[in-house]
This record gives sequence, structure tokens and C-alpha cells, in this order.
Amino acid sequence: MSLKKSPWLLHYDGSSCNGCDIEVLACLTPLYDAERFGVINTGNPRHADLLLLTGSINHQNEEVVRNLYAQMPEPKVVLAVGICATSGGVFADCYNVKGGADKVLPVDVYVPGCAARPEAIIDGIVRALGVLEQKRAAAEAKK
Amino acid sequence: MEKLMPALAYALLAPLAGGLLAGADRIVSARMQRRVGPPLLQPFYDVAKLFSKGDVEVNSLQYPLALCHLLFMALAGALFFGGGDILLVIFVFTVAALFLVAAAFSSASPYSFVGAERELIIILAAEPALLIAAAAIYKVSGSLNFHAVAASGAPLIKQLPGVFLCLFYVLTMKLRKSPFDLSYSHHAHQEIVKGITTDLGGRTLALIEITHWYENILLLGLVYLFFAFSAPLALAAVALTYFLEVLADNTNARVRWQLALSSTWTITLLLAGGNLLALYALGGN
Amino acid sequence: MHTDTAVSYLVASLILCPLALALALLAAPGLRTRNLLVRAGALLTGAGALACAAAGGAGAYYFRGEIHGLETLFLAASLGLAGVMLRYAFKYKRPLAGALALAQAGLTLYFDLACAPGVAADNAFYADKFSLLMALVIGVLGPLICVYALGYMRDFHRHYPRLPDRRNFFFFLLFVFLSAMFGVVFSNHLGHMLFFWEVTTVCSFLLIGHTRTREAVNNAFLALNINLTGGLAFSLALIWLARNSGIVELDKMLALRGAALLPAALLCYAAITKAAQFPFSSWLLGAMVAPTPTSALLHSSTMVKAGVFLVLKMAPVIAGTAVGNAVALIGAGTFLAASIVNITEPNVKKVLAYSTVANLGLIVACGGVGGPAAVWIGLVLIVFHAVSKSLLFLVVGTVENRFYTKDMENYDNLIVKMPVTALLFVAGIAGMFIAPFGVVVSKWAAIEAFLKVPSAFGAALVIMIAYGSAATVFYWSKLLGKILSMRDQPGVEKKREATIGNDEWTAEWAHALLSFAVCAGLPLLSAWLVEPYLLAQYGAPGGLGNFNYGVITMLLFLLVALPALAWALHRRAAYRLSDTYVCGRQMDSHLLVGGAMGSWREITLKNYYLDGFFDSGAILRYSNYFLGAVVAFMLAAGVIWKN
Repeated sequence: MSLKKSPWLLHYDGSSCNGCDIEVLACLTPLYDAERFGVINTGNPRHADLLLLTGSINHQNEEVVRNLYAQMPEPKVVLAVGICATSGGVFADCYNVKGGADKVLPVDVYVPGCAARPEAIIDGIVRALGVLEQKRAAAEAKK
Repeated sequence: MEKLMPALAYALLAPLAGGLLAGADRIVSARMQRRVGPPLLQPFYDVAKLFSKGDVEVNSLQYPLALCHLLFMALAGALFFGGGDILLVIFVFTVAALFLVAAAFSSASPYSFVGAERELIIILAAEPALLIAAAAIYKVSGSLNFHAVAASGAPLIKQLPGVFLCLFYVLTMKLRKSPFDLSYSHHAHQEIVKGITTDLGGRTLALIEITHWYENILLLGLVYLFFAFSAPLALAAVALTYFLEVLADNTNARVRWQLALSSTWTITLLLAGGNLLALYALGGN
Repeated sequence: MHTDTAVSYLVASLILCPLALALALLAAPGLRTRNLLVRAGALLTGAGALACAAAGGAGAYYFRGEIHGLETLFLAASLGLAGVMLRYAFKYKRPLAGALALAQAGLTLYFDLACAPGVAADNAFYADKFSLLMALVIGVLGPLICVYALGYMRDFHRHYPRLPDRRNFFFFLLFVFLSAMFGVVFSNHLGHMLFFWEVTTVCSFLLIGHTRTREAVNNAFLALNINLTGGLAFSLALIWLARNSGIVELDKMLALRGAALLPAALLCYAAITKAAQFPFSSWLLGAMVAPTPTSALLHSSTMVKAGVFLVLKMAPVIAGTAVGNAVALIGAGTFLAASIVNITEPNVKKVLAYSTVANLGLIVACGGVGGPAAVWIGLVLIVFHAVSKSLLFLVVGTVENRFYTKDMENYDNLIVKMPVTALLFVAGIAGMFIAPFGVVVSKWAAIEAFLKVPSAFGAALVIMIAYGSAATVFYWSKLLGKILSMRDQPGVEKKREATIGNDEWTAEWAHALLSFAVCAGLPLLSAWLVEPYLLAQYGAPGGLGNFNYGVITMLLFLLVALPALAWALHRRAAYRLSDTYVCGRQMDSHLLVGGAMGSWREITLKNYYLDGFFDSGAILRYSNYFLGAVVAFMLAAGVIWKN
């Protein structure tokens, strides 16, 4: 139960228009106050449970995203926030874009929207927590 | 035995009290920002989660060093409340802080490295104030034992107002509050990454959080001492001090280390040093 | 007063044995004889010092030292010494050094021919608990450094093949130095003490100039000049005492108390030059050009310790006078300024040197304040500082001979490259600034002792110590951080320790164990040598009290046990190693980071020196001016002050 009550997230902006990034930060503002659920925006993969990706994956940031994910301690989940992160969005056909986050990482939760609404993001985080619990249960069963 | 009991009580209860204080801190901070904030027990949830996370480390030194950070901080506090010499407590307190600095240095990450250097600057800035405060307490009460000073009934605050103000200033650094949270902040908006804890995660970070609870209770114990002639007043003063620190935290941006260092050293010299010298001029003893 | 034959023979042999060995070393035909002689001499000297300390049971011993022709011998030797100085001054065209040496010779002649004959000297030598404590420091650490030097000098000359190999002379000087130090601490006749004092000056001059490079020669003459002015002051004190009070002995001078204030001020001047206090510290910093065993010797058991020894001896005379306060101010001011300047210093050997200057400042301050509590600190700090500082120099020398660098920035990853050496390094650094090791204990005790001074002057000293102490934490921690910064990936060079010889290991491990032993054994050491001395001098023992000794011992145990336990527990734990965080970029073991467009950029991690914040040049300049004025005030007060 403890995992559920303390979701710390790492927000990585791939190559978005910053619309989603502003909405992610809006989650922390008084109106939405995501900290009610213990959410902390850590900015550091070692402290994070959730990797929140906005924007599409391109050839430049592919390695960075992989590294950040590798540096997070288990169990961990990946959220793709906004349409660019889920599929590449309008940038999908660009010469430098690979596509959505699931091209390089196992995405657990997709949050649609352009930009994604704060309510949707918070809902995505809450759903991701369920996945987190499942992952931990699976890891414990494996032991 | 009477020395052991308070020390033991500190070792067992300080994490509890410190954790609740941290929870209250977060709620009060949230209210100052017109938010609801997390539950009171949130810090405990966080630490429990950190302990349950898988272990990822950068090298084999970090975890042992962080563990020593915790143990020596608990030791410093136990010495303080157990009636050890306050000057010695300050030196052990510094040793505890150095274990964290060493843990950060041991990682080759530039962020961690800069965090460690900044933590050292904080130690550099705060140490004179702590030592002079202890010296002044000794000068006034003739003792450096927590219980003896408390029992002496000497109203330290009356004779040492300058020292207390200086201590309040330095407490902002030690409690890791803005504008002096140079090496590590609890607020994301202050950080590029996470300063001194950049490469410390999982249970290593959990140890550091618990240490911070120990540290806060120890520092507030020092505040208590200034009002120890009346326990209710002292508790109220402690609460007010902490509230003011949270207020400062929420109303200030981080300053540059130059200003942090120069202002602290100047204030220490003028307020604490001046107060200590004034004791002789006024012929109190 | 007893005279105990056993102690007198031991004292005589402590002075003479190293001298005999030195002469034998000068004539040693080859490497094996030299190694054998040095090791045997070290063992003998150490055993002699221990036996002497063990035999010197109760009280102080005074020896008449009535040997026919002893005075003539000392005079001849003094003139010989002046001849040596003049020869070098002439050879290198240094008129100032020549003039000072000539003046010194003139004063010595004047004293010996015009003053001394009319004065009755009862006891030429003595051994009290303080001199026995000093003898232990000299006789245990000194020989270990000599043994270490065997290995060091071999590597040193291997690396600098073009330097002339004058190792026999080098080891000759080391043992003469030890002999002279024993002479200083056991001489009751101030004329003899002055002779030994001058021998240490000349020995350090020759050791600093060992490589005979231009820099070495310049710095050697700097040391010579500064210390010769001290020698001149010493001579003047001697002549004043002989002419005005009819005294040439230390114990009689101390018994005069306030009546001997002027000679005490002059002796303090000599001591302050030798102890490299501001404004005279430059010679000790310059001495860093010498091979590292020289530094280890100068900083720990010899030379500078003769200076603080003399200040602490003068404490009963100067305490509470303007002279005493000036001395305390010089000491505390030096502690503060040297500590702050050290923050900006990247050269490891200079960091060690400034730290020595600072710690000696604390001892000098204690001597100036006087009284049992402060002098207790001075005595134990001599021991603690000697052990830890010597260890640090030995370790730095070992690292230097492997990597040929003195820059702190090149010490990172030492824990991987040379793990055992790094561990010893950490032990040495811990000894300098981590509670409960002696240096911190001394600061702690000093703050409480200075607060007992009735005037606000004590509080001013405390404030200076508080600031200096903070600076101390900063500069040691960043060096510690460099050593512990760890990149244990494949591709990092290891196994640099296989080339370290047994002589070096023995000396380093012995030092490391000693640094723990003196801390754990502080109550015993204090009760055995320090408290009896203070009781005899002041009627009170000083010291910290049993509760605090208990806490110190417990802390020391925990400081070893807890990290060891944490380390052992963690070795068993399973964890995943990951890269360090560099914004998600890849970083390899050589600190190369993948940048944009497939480029690789190197990361350099440099310590903070705060040199934009602390202007070390200005701090040095102004503290030298200020403390120079205080020195002048001290001498003036010696003339004017009347009790």
C-alpha cells in the first residue's frame, strides 16, 4: 500500500510544444494540488517511481530516455502524456521523429489529449499507481 | 541511568516527532500556497516506499556512508539530550553531516559533486554560529550539559538575544529552508536536479530522510534551551521558530552561496560575537 | 630534586646515539649498510625514548652534567656551526644570511667569554614530564620517518636521475636533527639549548636545500634567515639573563616569573619564528620544495615543535601579562588566517603546511593564555598533531612518488587506484578534524579554557577559533571528498600499490595505529605525563574529566565500528549498479559524456576554492602586517611591562 501513497515522478519532455509540460506543472498548482496524493515532481530518476513522458521520441533523445529509465529503481511505470508521447502526434512523420514513447520504453499508461488536461494527467497517475502495485506483486511472486 | 533515558527516548522518538513535524511542515507550506497539501503522515509513507524500492546504487560506498550519516546524527542527538557536552555534540553533528558529503562526493556526477561542495559551504557558514552559541551558553550558565542548563533556570534568551537571533538565521540553513537551501531542497522548483542527493535513491535516500528528522529535532532542542526556564514557553517558542522558518521557506527564493556565506559570517560576528563580548562589558559574571 | 643515574644515562644516550649514528651514516659505504644503520638506529632511538619515558617515574630530574671541557666543546661546536652557515652564505652569495650568522657567532662568543664565566650553573640538563613527552614524540615518530625515507628516497632518486645522489648526507642530517631535538628538550642550561636550537635551524636549512635547485636554495635561505633572527633573540635573552639576573638556566628563569618578562618575550619571539607563526610562516611553506620525509620531520616531531615547546615552557612567566596576551593573539590570529587561506590552496603539501601553521597557532595561543587547562591542551595537541600530520605527509609522499602530482584535483579516485593508501590517508585526515580525534578535542577544550579567562579577550579568542574551526572543516572535507570520489569501472588503472616497499608500509601503518592509540589512550597519556607536569607547575592537573574521556573513547570506538559494520552489511546486500546521473547521458570511466551530434565531452570536477570570495593574498598580507605589529608590541611590552 505504501507505493500507492507516495508517487514521485520524473517528468521528461521529449520534443513537445510544451503544452503538455505546462499542464503537468498545472497539476501541482493550488487548483489541482496533486500533492494531496503525495505526488512529488522530483526531477531525478533515482528518486522517481513514475516516468512521465511528454512529446515524441526522436533520435537524439532516444538514448537519454532509455538511460533515465534504467536509472530508476524498480518497480517503476511509464506514462505517456499527450498525443505526441502516445503516438508521435502531428510530428509522427517528421524525418527526425521515431514516434511515441512506446517505441523505446514499455509504456504502462497512455494519457490522450493535445494538450492533455490536468484532470486526465492526475487520473493517469492514479491508474499508473495500480500498475505499480501489480508490478510489485508480480516481482514478489517471482521471488 | 538518568542520562541514558533521555538519550534513548531521543533515539526512539525523534524519528516519530521529526516525521510528524515534516508532515505538518508540508501541510502548513501547502496552506501558505492555498493548497490542501498531503496527509500528515505523508513523510512516513514516503520513507516506507523508499525502503520498499529496488536497490540501485552508483558505487559500493554510498549506502554505508548514508547509514553512518544516520547513526552519527542519532548519536549526536542522543549525546545532546543525554547531557553530553554541547560543543562535542556540535562536532559529532558535523561528523554526521560529513558522511553525507562524502556519500555525495563518492559519485562522480557533477550535480552530486556540486551539491557536496555547497553542503560544505553551508557547514562553513553555520559552524562559527553554532560554536559561538555553545560558548555563550557556557559563559552564561556555566555548563554545557542540556539538563544542567535547563535545570539552572537561567533565562538564556534574556542574556543571549543576539545569539538566539543568529542561531535562528543559521537554522534556516540547517533545516534546509529557503533562502539557504543551497545543497538540497524539498521543493522541486528550487532544483535543477536534487543537489547532494542526486545519486542517492531508494533506501539510501530513506536513511537520509530519517536523518533529517533526527537533525531537526536536535536543532529545535537547541532552540528549546534558550527558553528552558519555562517548559510551555519553550515549546511555544520552538513551534513559533519552526513556523517562521517555514514562512521564510515559502517567501524566499534561493540566494547565491556568496551572499549566504558572507551574510551568515557577518551576522554571526555582529550578533553572536557581539552578544558574547557584551556579556563581559555588562559584567554579568 | 633527585638525580637519577639511569635517567641521566638515558638522556645522554638519546642525545649522543643519534649523533653517533649520523656520523656512521656519513661514512656508510653502500646501500645495504645504510639501510641497516637507519633501521637499527631507528629501533635504538625509539627504544631509548620509550625506556627514558618509562624510567622517568616521578617528578623532574636535574643533572649537573659536569663533564670536563663540556663548555669548550659547546663553544667550539657553535663556532663550527657558524662556519658552516658562513660557508654556504659565501658560496651562494647571501650577505644577509652571512651577516646574521656572524652576528650570532659574535653574540655567542660574547656570552661564552664575557657573561657565562661569572654565572654559576647548577644543572646543565633535566628531564621533566614535558620533556619526556617531547622525547616520546621525537623518538617514536622521528625514527619512523627516517625508515620511511629509505623507501621514499629510493623512488625519489629513481624519478629524478639527474639530481646528485647525496643520500648519506641526507640521512646524516635526519639523525643529527633528532639528536638536536633531544638536546633542546633536555637542556636546562639555556646556552646549550641555544646551541641545539641553532643545530635544528642549520639542519632544516640543509634539508630544505637538499636538491640544490634554485627554488630549493632560495627557500632554504629564507628559512635560515627567519630562524636566525629567532636565534639572535634567543642570544639576547641569554645575555640579558646572565647580566641582569645572573642566571643561565631554564628552571631558575621560570622561577623568576614576571621579573624575567623581557627574556621571555625574546624567547617567545624565537619560538614564534621557529613555529612558523604569522608573520614568519613563509619559511615553512617554502620548505615544501624538500623531499617529503623532510616535511614530515619538520612538521611533526622536530623543528616547529621546538618552537611550541618553548612557548609552553614560557607560559608560567608570560601568562596574564601583555606579552602573554600578545602571544595568544598571534597564535589565535595565525590559526584563523592560516585556516581561511587554506581554503584557497590546491597544493596538497601546502594544505598540510598551512594546517600545521594553524594547529601550532592553537598551541601558541594556549601557551599565551597559560594556566593548567590551556597548557594541558597545548601538550596533548603537540602529540596529536605530530602523529596525524606525519602520517599525512608520509601518505602524500607515497602518492606523489606514484603520480608525480601535488594538486588536490588529481587525487580523485584514489580509493580505487590505491585503496590501502587511501584508507591511511582518510585516517590521517580524520585525525586532523574529525571528532573525537585529538585536534578536535583540543579545539573543544580550548574554547572552554579560553572562556575561563576573566576578560573579554578570552571570548575574542573563542570567536577566532570558531571561525578558524569552520574553515578547517571545509578544506579537509573537500580533500577527503576527492579521495573518496569513486569510479570503480573497468578501464580504471589499479594496482599502483605493489611498488610500495615494506619500509614505507611499516612507517605508515605504525603512524595510523598510533593515531588511534593516542586518542584511545588519551586519559592514560594525560595521567602519565601531562597531568603530573601541570600539577608540579601549576598545582592543578588540567584535563577533561572522566565522563568526557569516556565519551571520547566511545566515540572513537563507534567511529571505527559503525562504518566497518555498515560496510560489512552492505557487502552482503544485493543491489544493482547503475551509471551516475548526467542528465540521462552516458558517462564512461574517464568522465567522458556523450553530447549532442555523437560528440564526447570530458567532464572535469573541480573543488571549490572560494578564491573569488576569500582573497588569500590580501588575507596573508594584512594578517602578516597585523600580527607583525603584535609581535612588535609583544617585544615592547616585554621591555615596558612591570608587575
